[in-house]
Amino acid sequence: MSTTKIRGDFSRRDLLRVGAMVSVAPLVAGVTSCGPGGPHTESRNGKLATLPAYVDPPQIDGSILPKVPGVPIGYTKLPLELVTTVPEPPGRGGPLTHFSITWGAPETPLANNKWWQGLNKRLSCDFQMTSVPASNYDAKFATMLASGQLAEVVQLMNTAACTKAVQQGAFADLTDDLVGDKIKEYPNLANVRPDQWEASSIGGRIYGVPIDIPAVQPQFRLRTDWAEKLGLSKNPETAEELADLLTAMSKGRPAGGKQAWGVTAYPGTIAVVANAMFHVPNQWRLTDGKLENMIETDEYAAALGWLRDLWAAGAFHPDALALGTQSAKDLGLISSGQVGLSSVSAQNWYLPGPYRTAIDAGGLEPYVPRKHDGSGPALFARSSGSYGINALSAEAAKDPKRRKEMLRIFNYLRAPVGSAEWYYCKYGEPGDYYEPRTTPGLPKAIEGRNITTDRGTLYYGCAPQAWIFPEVAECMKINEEMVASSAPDPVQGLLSATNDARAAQLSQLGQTYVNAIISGQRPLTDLEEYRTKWREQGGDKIRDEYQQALDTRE
Amino acid sequence: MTQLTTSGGSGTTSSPASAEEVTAAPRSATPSLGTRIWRERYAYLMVVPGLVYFLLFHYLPLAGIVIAFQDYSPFLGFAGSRWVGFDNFLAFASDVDFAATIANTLVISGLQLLLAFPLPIALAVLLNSLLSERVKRLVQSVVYLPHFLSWVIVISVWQQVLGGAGAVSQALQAAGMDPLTVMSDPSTFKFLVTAQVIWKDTGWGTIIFFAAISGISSELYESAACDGASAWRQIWHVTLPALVPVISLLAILRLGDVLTVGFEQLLLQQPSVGAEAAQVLDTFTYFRGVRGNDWGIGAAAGLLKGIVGTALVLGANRIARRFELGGIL
Amino acid sequence: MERPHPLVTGLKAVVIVAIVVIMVCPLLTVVLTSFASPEAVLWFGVWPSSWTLSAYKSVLGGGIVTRAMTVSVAVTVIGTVASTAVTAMLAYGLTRTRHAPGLRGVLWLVLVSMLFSAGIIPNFLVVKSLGLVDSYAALILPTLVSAFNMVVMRSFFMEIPAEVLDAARIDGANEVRVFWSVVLPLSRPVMAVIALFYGVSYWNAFFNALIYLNTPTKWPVQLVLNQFVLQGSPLDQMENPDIGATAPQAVQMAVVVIATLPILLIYPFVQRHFTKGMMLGAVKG
Repeated sequence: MSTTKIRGDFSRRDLLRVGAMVSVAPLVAGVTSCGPGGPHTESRNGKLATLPAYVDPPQIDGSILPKVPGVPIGYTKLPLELVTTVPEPPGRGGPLTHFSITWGAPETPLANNKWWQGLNKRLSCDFQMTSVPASNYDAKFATMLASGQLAEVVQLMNTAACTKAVQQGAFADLTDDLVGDKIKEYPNLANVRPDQWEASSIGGRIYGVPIDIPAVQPQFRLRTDWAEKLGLSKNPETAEELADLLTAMSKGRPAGGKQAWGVTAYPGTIAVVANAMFHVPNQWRLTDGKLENMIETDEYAAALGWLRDLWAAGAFHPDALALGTQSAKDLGLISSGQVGLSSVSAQNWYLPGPYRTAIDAGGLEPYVPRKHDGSGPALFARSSGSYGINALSAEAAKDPKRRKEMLRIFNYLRAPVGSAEWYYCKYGEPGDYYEPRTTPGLPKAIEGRNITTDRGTLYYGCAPQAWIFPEVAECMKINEEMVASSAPDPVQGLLSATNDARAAQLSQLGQTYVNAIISGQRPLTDLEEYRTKWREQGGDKIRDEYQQALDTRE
Repeated sequence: MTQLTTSGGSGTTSSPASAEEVTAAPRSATPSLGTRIWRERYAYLMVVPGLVYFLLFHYLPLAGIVIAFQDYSPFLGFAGSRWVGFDNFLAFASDVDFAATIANTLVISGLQLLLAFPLPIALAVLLNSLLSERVKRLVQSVVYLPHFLSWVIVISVWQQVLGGAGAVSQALQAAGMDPLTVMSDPSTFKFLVTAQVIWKDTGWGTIIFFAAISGISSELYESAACDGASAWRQIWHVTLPALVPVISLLAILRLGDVLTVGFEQLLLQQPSVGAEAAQVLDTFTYFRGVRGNDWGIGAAAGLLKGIVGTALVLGANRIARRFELGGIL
Repeated sequence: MERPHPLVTGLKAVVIVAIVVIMVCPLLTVVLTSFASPEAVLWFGVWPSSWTLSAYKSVLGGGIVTRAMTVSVAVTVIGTVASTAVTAMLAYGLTRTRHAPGLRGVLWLVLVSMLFSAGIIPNFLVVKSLGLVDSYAALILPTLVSAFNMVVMRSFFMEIPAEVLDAARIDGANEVRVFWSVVLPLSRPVMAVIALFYGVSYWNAFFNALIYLNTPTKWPVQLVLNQFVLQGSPLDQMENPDIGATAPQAVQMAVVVIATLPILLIYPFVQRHFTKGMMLGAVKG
């Protein structure tokens, strides 16, 4: 249901929470260039012709390979011996400028930053960074382009601005360096899944190394202790049972003296759950070669009706619509134990932090929604596996030697879990931030040292997903159940110029109608009005453009 | 700063002899242009640094307003981007939401002008009429505080107090009544927005008026009191007239900004009440311009605002001069 | 002055107390929430059930905020002085619009510039061509003079009776001397107010820093703290057991408190210049 999250909304907490791609607007496409592009690229649309080869990362003791592709590899422990995947320093010395997003404070300056100094030594380069606050990425990216001085390595997001810049030739086409077996020259990059390459390709070409996220990011949790107290099912099988439970949670004061609700924010967890239960397509549905947008489907209407009834029954927090934009407040409700159905990125339930604390307090059990009538599994939205790419500026990559050097550096940073390079990036030199290890397992932090403030965003973006915690098997099992019953967005990897221009506006339209329908301000029949307006304000054009792209691909 | 005249004083310097000399043809009694310039040379000198600043950092960038007439791309720059003439303006004016957006913008602006603009004056006068200096200072030091909170915090805090699950609602529910819905009701939204602006900026707005009041000579109050004027009459005949120049100045400047009614405040609350109630020119431009990577539309909107603002400032200034209320020149 | 009617005083008191309560209570909420621990529930939406300092520790740890504070303080002080000086000179110069040919045009030029803006990119390109990108000067120069402040100052200068200025001129003073020795001393309230406006504006500024700075060491405090407010979940929260769990909302509020405190401390010192206690002595005659 959440038609409000557009590609550009890459707030980190959203990524942590429900995954940027999972609850995304109906109009978002994968990153592709084509259509009425600039004079610099060929007018080519469609999927990547040949994919880079895929190689499993080296098996280390304690690693669990997923049974379903798209689930990250889990690690229960870290062996004492680490594999070396990069025998020689990849760089040739000299500076390497970066442009990267940050969700926190910037990194400690080089002079005082042991980790950064060590990184420079290991990479044999002078790693220079411009950190850009996430909320202002657009403005900074634009000024960087306008100034004519692009950084050599730029983190591109799935925004219209980035796509346009790629189309106009600002960034280097790396396809020929990486397709097929060529990628084996950079063995760690071969760990990137084929679906991630495909999803992050632009106009059928590769422009950078994708940032790794799981195919289905969130894990849902239910307050089963409340369910027990209220005398209701701890594992609702049907949408009706879930609705009854959530309503009872909001009305029955299961948390004693403090306020409690079944559902807090809209859009949020409940939107994703509703979409999954009612088998709402992931943005678009392709039937017999014809495209249909999610909002045009009957499943969408059903899910919308269910949410509306849920609101009318009183299951929602009274300020749910506002909470949809106040992530800090909303997440805080999980820690303070006031919400019945919640979700965050799967690993965050297990890693040390406030959500772990909430779980340890008890009563919060994993929950996998089923199909609304209980007759089978729900259908989850499968993300593209990436929300951005690390690209090379066209200028910098003109020199083949330089290009290879930068790819080698990517190779280093993409080193898999269990490798010496990865260990350094994650934990630094033994003794600097973490105690040297004498037994297998995770190292112990040295008090007073904080590697995250030193590392800042220097490492972010290139690293592989690392699910390392004791309960990883359980986490993987739950994730596998969801990924096994998930559907990708059929227009992923294709581009529509109208979508780029209109997505935000159409998302706003959706927000106006959907929020009002669910909260009862408008009748359910207004859905027709919404659909009509959506078509008129660009929806039809977008559909035509995607359809064209699909047809030419055949 | 002292006030020479009392009620009705316009406050603008009046050098009777020099009123029209700028445009008059040279006559034997009027000095030549060169002489006048030389006489005022120090004034010109003092003006230079500020003028250079405005030329360099405001007018030079204004050359970039050509973006409004282009399909601008940062990478291609001004030279490489395609010219589209008035297409950006048309796109925006023919947009299906444009009329509603302008209507919202004007209504909210009107409400703010009507309700939010006069309150700092009233508050300043009220505080000034307190006898105790200490209380006056203390209260003044408190009421300006909300100005420093960003809108994200203001809205979050208002919700904690006035939201459906907020403090007031909890109290109401404990008393058996229905909780508040004011923060998610589209029909009262414009008043909510104005109330928020009042809360946030009234205290801060009193500062200028305090400065103006502090310049009023106490002799004026004393002589008014001697004439038997009550406290209220003193305010009417001494305090308020002293504030007229500042008030008219601020009103004129405020009119220049009539199409700017806030951005973050409205953007954050739009999900709760819908675009029909909450969309204003700046958020409209944001969703079509910035998010759609369409720089032309943003620039076109900026140009539109500037033209409307200039016309209003000129008009308001003329009216102010006509009624001897001050004005800018 | 006669003693006011007790009913009127009573009414005034009620109104003032009401205003103070309305303004202060939500602020109290901000401060209280900043001490809330993650499991805490806010009683009546305001009082945390359990308290902790972890929000402050997480924001202030790492030395980034202290470094940014230094930058902010320096930029604010230097900027305020420079801005107030240039603005005052411009404002006074422009009081001569009736006497000096062309100054009227300059005044309009300045006014109109307030109403039009070319947007981020043209401004960036100008700053870049002046070689100011990634320099501290970029935090001061592009916003050196506010047309609004200038017009307000000019309006106050124009209130000074002509006789006072003429008296000084007849004594042989040039305009600069008149400005320095007569106008400025008489204009303490407006100078204090405009200096305050500039000070607050420099302290709160973060967008210019965002666009023009590339080196994180140069970030002013608002830019650093803005990260916490919007995202509400510091990057290191997940991984640093030293701090203990922090509530995202508490962090947001702690940030507000830290960011606003310095200006709040300055205010009382500025206030005394524009409240009535400061009598400037009779100027007439």
